[in-house]
Amino acid sequence: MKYVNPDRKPYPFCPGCTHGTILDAVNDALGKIGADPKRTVLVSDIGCVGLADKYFDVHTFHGLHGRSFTYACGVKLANPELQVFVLVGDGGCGIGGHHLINAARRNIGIKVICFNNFNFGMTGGEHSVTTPNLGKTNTTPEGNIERPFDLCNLALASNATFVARKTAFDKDLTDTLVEAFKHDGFAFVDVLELCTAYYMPLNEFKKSDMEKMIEDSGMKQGILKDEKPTEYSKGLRMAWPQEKQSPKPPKGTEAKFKSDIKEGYYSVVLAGSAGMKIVSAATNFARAGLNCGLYATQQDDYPVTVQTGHSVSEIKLSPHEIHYAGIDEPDAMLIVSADGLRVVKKTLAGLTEKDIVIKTKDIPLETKARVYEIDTQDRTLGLSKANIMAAAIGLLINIAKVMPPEAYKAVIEAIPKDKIREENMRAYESAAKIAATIK
Amino acid sequence: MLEFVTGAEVIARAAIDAGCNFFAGYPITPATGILLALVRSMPKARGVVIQGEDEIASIGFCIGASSAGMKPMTATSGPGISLYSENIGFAQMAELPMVIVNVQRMGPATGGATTNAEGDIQFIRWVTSGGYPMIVLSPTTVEEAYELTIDAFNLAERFRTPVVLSTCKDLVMNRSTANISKYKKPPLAERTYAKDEKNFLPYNYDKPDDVPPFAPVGGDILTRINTSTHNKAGMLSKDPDIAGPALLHLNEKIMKHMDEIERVDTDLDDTAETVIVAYGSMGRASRDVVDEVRKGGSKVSLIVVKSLWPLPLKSLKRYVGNHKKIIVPELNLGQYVLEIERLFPDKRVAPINRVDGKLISPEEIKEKI
Repeated sequence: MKYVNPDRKPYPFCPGCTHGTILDAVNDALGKIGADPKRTVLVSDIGCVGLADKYFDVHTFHGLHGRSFTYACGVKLANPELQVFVLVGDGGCGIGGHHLINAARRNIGIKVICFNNFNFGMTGGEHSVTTPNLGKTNTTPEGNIERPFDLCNLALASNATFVARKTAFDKDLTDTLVEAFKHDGFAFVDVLELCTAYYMPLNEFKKSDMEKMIEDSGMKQGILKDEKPTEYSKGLRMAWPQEKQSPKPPKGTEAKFKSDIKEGYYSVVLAGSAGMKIVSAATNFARAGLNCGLYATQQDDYPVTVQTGHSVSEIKLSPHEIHYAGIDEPDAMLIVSADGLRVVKKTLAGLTEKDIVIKTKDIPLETKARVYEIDTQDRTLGLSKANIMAAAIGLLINIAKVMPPEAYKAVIEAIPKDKIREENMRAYESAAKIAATIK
Repeated sequence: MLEFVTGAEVIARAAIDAGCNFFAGYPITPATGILLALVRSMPKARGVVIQGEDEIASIGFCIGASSAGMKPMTATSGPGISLYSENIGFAQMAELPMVIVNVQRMGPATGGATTNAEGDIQFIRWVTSGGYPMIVLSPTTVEEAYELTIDAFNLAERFRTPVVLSTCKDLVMNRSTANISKYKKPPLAERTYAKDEKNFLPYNYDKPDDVPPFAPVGGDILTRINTSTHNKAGMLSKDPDIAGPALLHLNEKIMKHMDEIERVDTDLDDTAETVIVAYGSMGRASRDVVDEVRKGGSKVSLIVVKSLWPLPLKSLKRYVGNHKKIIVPELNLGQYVLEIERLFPDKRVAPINRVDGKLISPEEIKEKI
């Protein structure tokens, strides 16, 4: 079987370049495993090697420089039964190193064949990540001061399950490629060769010099690793159910209660610290609104870090659709920490006598609004960081009379996690007690 | 009935309802919620979800998957769109369908990860080298996000092109009530598959505005994907007589079918002198402005643009009509307003801009009317 179409030859490479030898070996290896061209995908990176796709009659994919690994992975993830191989140069392994490393790490079953000639050929002989130290190239005319990667070591360090190193001159190159193609998992084959246009003449670097370099550097040749853990694309499918399960259609909340908000908006600012469950408390309050058929919006503000700093949520409720979620003058502000107070000071200053502020006793603040306190030092209330805001909400509902308490209690009673449900129930009971003393 | 949801949950649900079976993304605030939702729901729907090592890998995976016949989606924010640029161009060049969600946040660069903004409006149009047409849809509410996500998949399949769903931190991360009866699911579109191996060419078309029938990589008809300018066989070509028409095709395949792409909502008062042209966050907020203005006895019209790009020329010209003044509120320093100024040189155009993360209030808009 032929994968390279002989009518399109000769290959376009420079005289003496062994890119063609490697491509012929790929062709032979595919033949030896009886690959079906319709289930074979060649992904070529950019460079001289990137010209290869034109010569093959298999599925071909020529993409961006260095990203060939990602396209090959995408194809393999889509269809794990395909034989997907990447033809890339040492140049592509440089720009795409991160993708090479991760494809190897994940063990996605793509086969990467690196045409490693120690420089960028197509663009004019610049140095690459495998250019030997002191090597002369057009970007290292006085000799390369960088040290190269050993790409096989890079693959091994990335936990690649099949790694091999050959040269383009090896008689058994085809056999190694066969092993790579047969491997069910990620495979990397580093094929060392000479760039007859640049690296070779600039360094007077012949085949014998390359062989000496390999020996001196201690680079091992042949198949360096061949392990068989589960290939990624197949592995992820093992977690799939037999039948496709589509997302459940939305249920919606039945409005079992009636709220006292007949028009306009009721806006509440809930200000505390990260780690005080401000966001979930605010959501519960909003859900209570839905229980009354109200529309609600929630905007949360907290710093990028988790568990430190402020956490401020804004809830807006209305009997009609809410388009503008911003709150310019809230009807109530619930402030339970100094962090929260700091962030909402400006808004606090704008409150009037008709507004409500509920705060914990330890927070000093000045406002024209009516102020109600929760003494968090009072042990009998059973309050902690986790439910102080819930208590503040419970108090608001009992004082402001915007919705029947049952609407809120229904939300709390439906909380699935026992500990959290109990915390919230306890907070509500304490709030109701405090509200009773106010009347 | 109402449900209290984030845009992330709804976009994730819409994607799977649209037939999305592949999602690759990199965690980035404020888009991460979409990845998290799909990590849970995609495997149940027998689809692939993978967290790429970076954004470039994520969109690369999507391109590979699309070429193999899957319906991919990815989601990111400004920094990620910046990294996607070259690959979005590749998807255009190779005519590969995919949906890209841009959840805008305060920029430039890392900017404000948790701060709302809509500053990528021109960027997303011109994000690829060469500037070929981008289809960009922009919802104002969670209900619209559901419908437009499915629309995005449909347009991507119909035109064999990447489509962007442009949204923002507020819509995706905040919770709001959605009217379940308002969730509209359009019928699904699939790319046209080539039937016959004989005479198949990967980029074949009769008229330049036709879309080439598709053969998946790895399927029964051999095909070629090429990032270089190519002929109809998918082989690299520099020949001006081949490359020129091939590029014009990329333009015409979309520009000649604007009637399928334009999506504009209106609330017009024929007797009003002023019209607000808005999208996204301000598209939503402007509806309150219109209500308040009319309650106060004044007149104003509203145009909400849901297909930002290509510019919905026909709709805009028709609906702006005889209004004398156009207000364009934007959460950036004035980007879509540049198009409005260009289209309507004889009208008074009043931009209102805000970049500090807060919404432009109804009061600020009313003042300008």
